[in-house]
Amino acid sequence: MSVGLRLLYRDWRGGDIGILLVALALAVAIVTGVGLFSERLGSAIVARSGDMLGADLVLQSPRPVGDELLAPARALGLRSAYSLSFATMAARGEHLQISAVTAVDGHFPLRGAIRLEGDPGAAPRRTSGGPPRGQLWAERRLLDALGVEPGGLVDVGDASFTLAAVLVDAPGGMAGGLGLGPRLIMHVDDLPATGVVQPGSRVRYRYGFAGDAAAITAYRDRIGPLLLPEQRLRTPNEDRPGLAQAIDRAQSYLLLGGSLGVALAGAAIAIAARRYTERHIQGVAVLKTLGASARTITVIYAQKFLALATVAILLGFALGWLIQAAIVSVLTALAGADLGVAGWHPYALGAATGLVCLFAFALPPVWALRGVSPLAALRRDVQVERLGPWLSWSLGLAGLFGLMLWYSRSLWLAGAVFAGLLSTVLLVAVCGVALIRSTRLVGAHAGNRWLLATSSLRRRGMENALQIVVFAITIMLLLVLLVTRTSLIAEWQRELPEDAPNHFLINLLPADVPRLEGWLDRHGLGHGGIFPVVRGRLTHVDGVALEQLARSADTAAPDLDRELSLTSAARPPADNPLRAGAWWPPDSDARQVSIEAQLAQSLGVGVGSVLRFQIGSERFEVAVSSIRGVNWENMRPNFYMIFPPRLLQRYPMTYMTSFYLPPQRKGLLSELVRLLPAVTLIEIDAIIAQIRAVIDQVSLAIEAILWVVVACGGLVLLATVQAGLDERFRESSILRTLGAPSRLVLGALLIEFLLLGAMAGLLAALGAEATTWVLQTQLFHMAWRPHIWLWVLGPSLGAVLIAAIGTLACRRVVATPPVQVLRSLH
Amino acid sequence: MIRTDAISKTIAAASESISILDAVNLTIRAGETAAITGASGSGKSTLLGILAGLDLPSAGHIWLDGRELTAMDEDQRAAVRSELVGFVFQSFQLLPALTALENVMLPLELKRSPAARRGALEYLQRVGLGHRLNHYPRQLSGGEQQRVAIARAFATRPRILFADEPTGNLDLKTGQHIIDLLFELNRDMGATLVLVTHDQGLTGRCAVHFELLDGAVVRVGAGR
Repeated sequence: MSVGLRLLYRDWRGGDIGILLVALALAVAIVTGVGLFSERLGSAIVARSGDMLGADLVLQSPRPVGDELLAPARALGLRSAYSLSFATMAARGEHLQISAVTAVDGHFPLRGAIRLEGDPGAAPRRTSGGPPRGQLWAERRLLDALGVEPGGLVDVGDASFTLAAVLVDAPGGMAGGLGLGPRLIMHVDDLPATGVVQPGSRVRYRYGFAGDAAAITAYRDRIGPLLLPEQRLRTPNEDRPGLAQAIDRAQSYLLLGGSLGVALAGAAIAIAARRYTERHIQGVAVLKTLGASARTITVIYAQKFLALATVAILLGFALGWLIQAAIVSVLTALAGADLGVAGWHPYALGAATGLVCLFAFALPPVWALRGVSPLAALRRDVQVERLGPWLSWSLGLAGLFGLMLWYSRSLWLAGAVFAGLLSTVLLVAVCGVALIRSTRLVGAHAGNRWLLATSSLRRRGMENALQIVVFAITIMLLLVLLVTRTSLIAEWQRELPEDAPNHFLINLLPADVPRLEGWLDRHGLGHGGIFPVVRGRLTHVDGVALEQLARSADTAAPDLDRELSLTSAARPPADNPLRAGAWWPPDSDARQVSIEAQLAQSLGVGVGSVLRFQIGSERFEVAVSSIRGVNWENMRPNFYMIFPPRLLQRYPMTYMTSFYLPPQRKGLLSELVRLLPAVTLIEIDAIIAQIRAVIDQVSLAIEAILWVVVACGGLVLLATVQAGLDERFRESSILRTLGAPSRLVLGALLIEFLLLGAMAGLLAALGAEATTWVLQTQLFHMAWRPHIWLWVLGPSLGAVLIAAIGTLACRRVVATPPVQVLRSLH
Repeated sequence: MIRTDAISKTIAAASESISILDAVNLTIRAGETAAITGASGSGKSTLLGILAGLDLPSAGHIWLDGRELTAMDEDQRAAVRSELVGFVFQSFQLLPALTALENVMLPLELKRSPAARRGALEYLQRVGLGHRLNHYPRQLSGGEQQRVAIARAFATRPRILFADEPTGNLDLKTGQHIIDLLFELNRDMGATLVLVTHDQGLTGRCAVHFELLDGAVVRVGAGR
């Protein structure tokens, strides 16, 4: 074994490299863990994307397409499959669940397969066709919501079906995750019996095609020019990059978040390496007196650190695998249990992170050992040439920025996060230093322990400011996560008026309106207005096409490249105050439109502007006659565009409304669904519960990473304490030699760390409260509400964490007899 | 074995230069034992460091075993030290993370000696610490640590041994034992011994005695 490796083993025995090893391993673990999870998720989703489309080419439309688009496919010999998707209620007795229904014909899917649950413990079984007539296949979530097992009956609209199998996933949509309810697959020929799909209903029509590549390309070229703006062609190759890009972006964000842990690990490495260097100066001087050259020293320490890096990287891989396993277990419900296999890239990224951390943070101080004079073995006053602290830290920061750039693959994103991190660190450091200095007031009037503790705090001002920065930021992130997970959404809900509508009804047919009004009257329920809805697109603003507007630098047009819900009204809705212009007379058929104020601003539209719309194949122009403010949080139907009543009369329309139903009267919903089988009922509280569940799971996964980051923060504390241990030993031994009891010294230590932790926690609470203020007022548009518990939990958590780690690390200071300390230091 | 020609050493301190050594000339023959004495702060350790090739003089020349150290860079001087020199320090300078045996093995491992362990074992036994092989320096008394240091110095069979106040941190009785051990081993090995000490009594055991006075060396004469 080489000298370097033998000395490394002895360093390990002597406790010199524990922190270095653990810090490096944690840095590798965070990056590897996040990378593994993202890659597994990405490979599962992207690999299935071809299967998920269910065809080589899909034509998607909000309305049935004409034969002019289908005939060329037949002529080219392409196989075709037809399906449609929509949201509706599935019911079983009193139990209701909004579901994402896909009705398929006998040819579906053309590619891939539908997977159904097999026998217990067995893998899912694949089937190449859809359910036969009279049957449904649904996701497990629907069975749980309706309390039904395979073989039971489920109602969709006016018809009942046998729930024949449990769906795992199927082409044509994502299984699990978000969306309006669990998936349900039925035969398209069963649809008329349900009465759910009517003219004007919000339905997505899918026409899948499969065949040889040349025919697909020819078909695509032929129908491309014939497509309406709302019709879309999709292929697996176009879908896949989009999905892959989304996964890549998510991975970049997660890695950037994890880079906080890498930064902390780097700080711990830098501090530990500095101490390591100090402790090895004499040893290197002795080695040189024994005949070791500078080159020999370089080789010895290179061997040591490369071996250390190897062990740390392997350890980091193992920890990283555990981290991704923890994330996967938390997110199984969202991501699905059937994740793909990760490649080598996360491991390469993790290893590179470890090596960069080693070179950027450990190398600068250790490099000084090369130039140690052998004379230092004879005389302690021999100066060792070191890289200046600014240069050392600059190298570390450069290394960190390089890593962030690699993770994000975006200069501006890495730069923004890096600048944000630096600014936050500086701000917290300034506050930390101020808090430390203020302890002079506390110590001046307190007992011996407090006096000792506060003077020690001030004496180690810079190191303690670093601890405050580290723990304030990590605890702040934990607190923000906790607030988001526990209170934010509940507070937002509480902001709503007690009787704010909590149910939406869409896809109401014209004939359903009087029946609904009668039902609401019978049960003494009000509604937020019943609005007609026509689906149409905005195509031009003042003669300029919307696509052109979107590219213009002068406007920030929102994503309007889709169908809008257009409505008409004789009077402006209650929560829509006019900001400009005037409303039309009640029975007007003038070619006018009232537009929502923020949209008007982003489109650069004013009263008098001319907007062009397309409904179906018809186009028409209207002038903006008024601009309205809209309160989007009122839980009522709100619209970007409102037209005079008679202008939209001739188009197929459905209706939508919202109403409040007290929780204890939820049983009425089954009666409503039986009365109006075609309607789609959206239970807001169920949606909110689903969103909360998603936030819970995602935040748990993020918390797992954050706790690893906190562990890195703990390492920084350990490294700092260890670096100053000799000084603490000296102080403690002198104090005890002068008669101070051990409990005084220990008490002072405890108070010092408790104060340090409380200060960090206080700043964390301040930061968390400020962040919550931004979320409440800017994101949720709520009134600011303080969280008193943050101000208790933050300082408490900080005090406990730092006191525990710091006191444990320093316990030898008190336990070691003074004479032993003095002898060893001499 | 060791010859100097008008070596001087000046150091820069604050706003002035301080002359530690001033045109020092001395010669120590192979196999001789030489003591260098002087008051505290007279430059004894500085002179020792230069003689051993740990440092370079500001002026002058020095030859060790016929090789001019002043014409070499640090790596070349390290090579000479590896080949010729052993060192015993006042503060022992054992590596705290290594056991007694590992400390003595270290210079042999640096020379890639295949019998490092055997050689170390032999010298530890010779200094009477065969039963403390796996003890760390913190578990040894001052005298025991110095014996380990002596074993380490002799393990490579140096031709020149430099000792810088080897008993400076020890009590009288222990110090006496250490000196006896040092001289005994040196006699067996036949090496040149250069000893820096403030103990005038020790000079009597050495063949030559140099005294440092105001930066200059005066040969007091044969020590015995």
